[in-house]
Amino acid sequence: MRKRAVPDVWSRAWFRLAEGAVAALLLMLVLQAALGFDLADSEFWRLFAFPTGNVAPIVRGLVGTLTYLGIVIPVGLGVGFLWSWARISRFRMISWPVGAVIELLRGVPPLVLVIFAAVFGSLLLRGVVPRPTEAAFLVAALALALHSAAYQAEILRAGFQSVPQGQVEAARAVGLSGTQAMGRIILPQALRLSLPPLANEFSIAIKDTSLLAAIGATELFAVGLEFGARVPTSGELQWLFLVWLAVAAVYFVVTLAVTRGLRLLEDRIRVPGLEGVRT
Amino acid sequence: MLAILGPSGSGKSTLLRCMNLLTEPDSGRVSLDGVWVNRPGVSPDWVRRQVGMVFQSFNLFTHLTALENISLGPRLALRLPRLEADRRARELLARVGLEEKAGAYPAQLSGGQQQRVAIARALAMGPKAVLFDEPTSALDPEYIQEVLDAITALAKEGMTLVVVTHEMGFARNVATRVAFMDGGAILELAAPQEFFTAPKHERARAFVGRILH
Repeated sequence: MRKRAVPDVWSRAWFRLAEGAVAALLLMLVLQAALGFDLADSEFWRLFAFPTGNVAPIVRGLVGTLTYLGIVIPVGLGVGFLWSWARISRFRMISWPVGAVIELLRGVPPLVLVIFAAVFGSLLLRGVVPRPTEAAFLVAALALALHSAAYQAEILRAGFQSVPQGQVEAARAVGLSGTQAMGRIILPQALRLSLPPLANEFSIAIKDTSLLAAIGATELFAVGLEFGARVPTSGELQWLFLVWLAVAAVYFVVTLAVTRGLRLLEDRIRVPGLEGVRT
Repeated sequence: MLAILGPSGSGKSTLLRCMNLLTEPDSGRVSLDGVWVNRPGVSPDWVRRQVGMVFQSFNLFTHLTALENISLGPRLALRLPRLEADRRARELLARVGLEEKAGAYPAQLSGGQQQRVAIARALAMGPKAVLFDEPTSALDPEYIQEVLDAITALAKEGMTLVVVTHEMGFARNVATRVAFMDGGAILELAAPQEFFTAPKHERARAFVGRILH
């Protein structure tokens, strides 16, 4: 019953990707001419491939970033969902403390949270786990996850609260249990309304993992710092420009993949007649 | 069919909502088929599966098609297989004259069509009675008749209906009994002919006088 005309998004996505690659190549050529260096004869390419057969630095960074994302996004969404539920609880014993935690997390810069988590994480874990420093990175990633969860909880709360009470009553009136009403009626509607701001929050959370570089974790931003420091004898600025351009491009692609993915989901659960105004 | 009449704020909707326990009665008994149901040990879900309800503002599930709106209850609450539930939903849609709107979403339907889908949804559970809470009050005038016709058809089949309404002509012609409420109490319970021509209670007389003249 749910078959709808879904636009051929994949072929469109490939087309966009090809477009992007061509644009990037052209940009490189323009830059080369403008800045006056020889791309072909540059140590720059070592960012992407080490001749020794080791993993390329940028791949190492990407793997690190994706690992921390693997903590931040699922934990952030799971905890954010539970918190949003707690926030709309009619029991003040539940809603008030969660509200306080959310305010606290939203009121502190994520960088400060990361440093807190790293310091206390490594203190607490010393002697408990074999490699407390690396474990502290995970604790810091968890702190970022909770920071994002605070924002996601508020996004989902708005979603829940914009589902009219009449929907719940109608669900109960046809004999659905409370859980069924939540799962089949309230949640799909709340999620549909929450998806665009959730994609927004995800794209911020992805880039916030760069803060983990501050405590020495290996991820894209840290690789940029590390590689940027290997300045060749001449052309310092051009070198830095290229390195950070590459790092920025990888962040951009990761973020785009996630937001586009959510956009596809948004299209799938679109409800005819409820698309809202168009300008 | 029982029609519940009375001025705004007289407790008509509250009484109706007590009948399927959407509002929990503070006192008194609710009986369904001779079974006392508003007591501990009786699940309200069990009661609601046997009593359909149609709301003033339709309350169709906005993210589901007309067909899914109707088949969801039977599928989840009665554990009917999807095919069977869909087949019955199509029959019900045909019964309210909307078989061609099976795949439409509520936002694509007119108010009258939405309310007829809501009636089909209430019937899908095979209820012993259907409650209507001012089913035409939110409708544009041109859609009122089609909804009243659908309700009349049910009444003609001998189905037990309780309708809170301000449509006096409809109450007079279709109801078998009329309850008049004011101030949270039923002041008069009579046959419609009797109620509209010779109301006994003083406030009922004032009410009938106001609407008929």
